Amino acid sequence: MAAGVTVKSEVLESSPPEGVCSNTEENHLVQTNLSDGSPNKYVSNKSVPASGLNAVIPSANQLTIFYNGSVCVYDGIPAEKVHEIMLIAAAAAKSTEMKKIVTQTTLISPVPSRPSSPHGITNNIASSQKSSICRLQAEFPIARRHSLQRFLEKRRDRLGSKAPYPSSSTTKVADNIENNFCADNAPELVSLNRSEEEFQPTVSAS
Amino acid sequence: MTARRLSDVVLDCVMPYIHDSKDRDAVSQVCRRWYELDSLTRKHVTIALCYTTTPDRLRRRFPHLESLKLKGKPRAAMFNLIPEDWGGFVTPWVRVISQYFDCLKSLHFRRMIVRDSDLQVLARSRGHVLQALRLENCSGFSTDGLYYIGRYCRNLRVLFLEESSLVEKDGDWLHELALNNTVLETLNFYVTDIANVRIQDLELIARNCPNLNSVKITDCEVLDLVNFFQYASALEEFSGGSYNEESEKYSAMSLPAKLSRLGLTYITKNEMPIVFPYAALLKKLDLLYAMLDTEDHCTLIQRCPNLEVLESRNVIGDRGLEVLARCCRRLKRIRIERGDDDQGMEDEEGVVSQRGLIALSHGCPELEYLAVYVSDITNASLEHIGTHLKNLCDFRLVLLDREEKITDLPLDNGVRALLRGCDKLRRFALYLRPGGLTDVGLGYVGQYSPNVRWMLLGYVGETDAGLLEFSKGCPSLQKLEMRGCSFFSEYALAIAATQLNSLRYLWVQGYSASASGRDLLAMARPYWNIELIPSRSVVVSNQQEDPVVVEHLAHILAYYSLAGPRTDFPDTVIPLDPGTYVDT
Repeated sequence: MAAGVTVKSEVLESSPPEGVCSNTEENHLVQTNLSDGSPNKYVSNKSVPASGLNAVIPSANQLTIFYNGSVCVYDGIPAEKVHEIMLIAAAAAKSTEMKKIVTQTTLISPVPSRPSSPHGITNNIASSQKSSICRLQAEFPIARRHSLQRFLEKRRDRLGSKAPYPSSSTTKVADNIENNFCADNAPELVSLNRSEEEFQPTVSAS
Repeated sequence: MTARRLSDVVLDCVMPYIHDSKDRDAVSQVCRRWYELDSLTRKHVTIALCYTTTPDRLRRRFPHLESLKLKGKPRAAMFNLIPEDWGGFVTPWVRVISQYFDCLKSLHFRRMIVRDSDLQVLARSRGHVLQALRLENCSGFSTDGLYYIGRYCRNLRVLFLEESSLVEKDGDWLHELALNNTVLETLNFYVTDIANVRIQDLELIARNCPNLNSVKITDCEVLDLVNFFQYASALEEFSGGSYNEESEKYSAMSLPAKLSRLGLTYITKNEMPIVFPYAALLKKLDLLYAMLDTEDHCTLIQRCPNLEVLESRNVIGDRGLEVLARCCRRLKRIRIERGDDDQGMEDEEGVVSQRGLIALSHGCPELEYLAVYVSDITNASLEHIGTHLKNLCDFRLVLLDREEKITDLPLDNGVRALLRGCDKLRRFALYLRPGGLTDVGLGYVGQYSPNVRWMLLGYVGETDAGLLEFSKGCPSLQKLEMRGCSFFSEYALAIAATQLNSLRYLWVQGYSASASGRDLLAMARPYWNIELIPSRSVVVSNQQEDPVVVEHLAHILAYYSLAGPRTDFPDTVIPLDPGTYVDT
């Protein structure tokens, strides 16, 4: 089996460029990724059946990630973590393929306990230095009180039904999504694709 | 012999007048006789974490309690950071209460898991004497359990369910309460999912209970409450309601004349004028769940010169805080929560920063409690707070991550000035971002917090050295919560915990975990429980958006307990047993 899941580079890159969270840079990255024909590949040591979402992934010791011409190898990644990463990557890939703006992204950098190559070490040091703020914020969104969260959800419903010009409200929201893409949404995580039937990951061993 | 009897008689007379819990604690340690007298006459006990002791120990120590308050889950549960089944079950406590505590009139559970069967046992066994029942931020029960409370607790004066996650089956519980109760003073099911409220039951309660003075409900249509407001003539506090009809219909509304504490849920600019005739009398205003923009806040606040308590979201903006500072000089408590991050709605001007804080520090010198989420901050604003807010007891600041550029970081000097200036500070929370406070600043926090008992620190410091410097101070610190501590090692956290002499409770999320977790054992000691909540993925489903996978990083929870390690932990919690590691 030889097939790769295409993923957005932002999702899995461990060396994001300077200022990855600025709007301009983010837009640039998106454009580059869309125009770049080379697929980013995500490969695990073990093969995963087509119905991977429900399958139990056998224990894996090593994780190799190919993206944007770079190779990162990590040791000691638990199978559950690999599964989670694949889900997130596949969801992001699907979003990219559908050419929708990804409104929620995150920086994921699996922490290796024993990187097997100097290259890996270098990448992680760079990652730690350059994206510490972004990653920490992504990993640790400032929590909101549960009661307030529920109110804000209800309020959106009410505003939607009560506003005399719902279309203008929608336009406003859309504008804000575009304008505040990075600042507002970067700390959030990737949306998980709702429909399992549409999810057809095909991953093979390297 | 005569002298001894005389001193006993005197002590018998004096002891009932000692109410302060710290005085009581001190008295009970003088000698065995005083210990026994304290035990017999103690009326109220608060247990800050239900796993620090057992129901049996409590009843043997204080057999004649009249009032008990119990807290369960860590405070982080209010922010959905703790697993739902973490623990905090009231069942063993209710069992002992129902059998032994004959004098208990007031019961308060906070962040605990309550079952319908617990409420049934409680109502049947203690229903005739129970006067106050508070289930605050609790979960696990339904209106079936409340039915028993309504049916059997005829002398209930306080029924408080605020922010509890209960399952509504029907409205029979309220009907039962209305039929059986004539002494109710406080009815609160605010911010719950209770929707099936029969207005007639509220009216019946208002008619039958002449002392009803506080009612906080969910979002019933306000126009349906006209009769209720007429009957509830003694009402001083009301929160809740919603406004779904044409706004002109609300202009004829009359609220009770004595109303001084008001919570406006879902109110908009169009209905706001109904408040104006009562605004000058208001002492407390809750706008957390209002649908008002910055301009509306300004309009309303300038009509409330006697305001002492205000709660709102950051939509109030710096401009609203400036109006507050100009018009509400008697303000004692203010809480500004984080509203919607989407700036497209009425939160457009909703930014709170150093500008608003400086205005408050000049205009509201009587402030005792200040909790605020800010988008920007400066050292100067914290210095102003330290200079002018001399009555501040509780200060909580969160720096939001929305803005990339912050005017003035790090905040070392501002924090030092604030802590030195506000010498009455008992509770302190500082949640920043990497670079927000250096190791030097963290050292200041330790050095200048002599009276602080509770602290929440987020993204402060830079290295282990800062944490250790911090832990040399804080002589009164009993509870420490930390978040975003990936630059602190396990070992430093453990050493800090041992250096903080008064510490009895520690919660940490996001630390630099060692491979084995053994470094935490440096804090192991007798009666000190250590629990781990490993990292986990949580799927959060919003109504509007696709499900989102949120990664919750690992937690450490450590606390003193007379009871030893607890036995009811779920799969999500791993107790750290020193013995296991010694064998390895």
